[in-house]
Amino acid sequence: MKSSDKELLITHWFDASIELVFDAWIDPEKLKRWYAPDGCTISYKRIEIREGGMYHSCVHDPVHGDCWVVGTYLEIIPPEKLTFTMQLSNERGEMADALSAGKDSHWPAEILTTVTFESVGSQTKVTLHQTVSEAEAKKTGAYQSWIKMFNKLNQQLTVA
Amino acid sequence: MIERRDVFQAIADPTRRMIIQKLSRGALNIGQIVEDSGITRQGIAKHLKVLNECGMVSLTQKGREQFCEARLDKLDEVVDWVNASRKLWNQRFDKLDKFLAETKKQ
Repeated sequence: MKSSDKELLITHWFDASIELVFDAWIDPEKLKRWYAPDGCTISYKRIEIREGGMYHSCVHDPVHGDCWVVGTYLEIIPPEKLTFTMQLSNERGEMADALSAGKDSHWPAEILTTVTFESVGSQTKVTLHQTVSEAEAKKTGAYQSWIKMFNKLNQQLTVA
Repeated sequence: MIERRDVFQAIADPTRRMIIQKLSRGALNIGQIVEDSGITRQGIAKHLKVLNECGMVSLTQKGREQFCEARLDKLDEVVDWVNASRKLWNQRFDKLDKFLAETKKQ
């Protein structure tokens, strides 16, 4: 097993107030300005930014074509926290498997992203945590703990 | 949706993570996995079936016993996904930096 990070945890400091940074995540017009990957554009067929609200977006990639995604906003606590899911989809909003959505097969079914915002002086610290959230794991409230498993496993493998 | 059978499905469940953990020290039979797990043999067998279908655990019959072995290399797929996501988010954050800088100028 590789020794690199097993968990996606990114921290980024923005030179702007927490209100401005948070607003860029919950205003669809602002999201369109930065959310698409380099060289791509994003459009929203549907976007309801409220807890329990759904979104249905499409990233237009000039090389690889369109990639549709659906998800739900689980938590919106301005200006501190945002939690949403992401699943590969198609134009009709149906769940797609990774292959038909143009991704390789090694792509998780549902991704859970948690973003927290913290005001430090004139800057804003944003911490993003992304993990796999299968429906089953959600029921048991145990999502995210696969990261712990990786850590334990790593310890065992290095001790052995 | 079709039931997924991949490494992400394999690690999505706490019982299955426990099984992978136990098997990381070496192959075991079902009885050894059940021991101290607090889960019935039937329950373990059900999860082993999923793990096997996900390619995470191989099952071999030796006489009357079935031996289970973890394919830990499969977990590298998770690492690959994490790295790809990291790249994407760093790109997004750069774009958001630029967007915020533009917004402030206005």
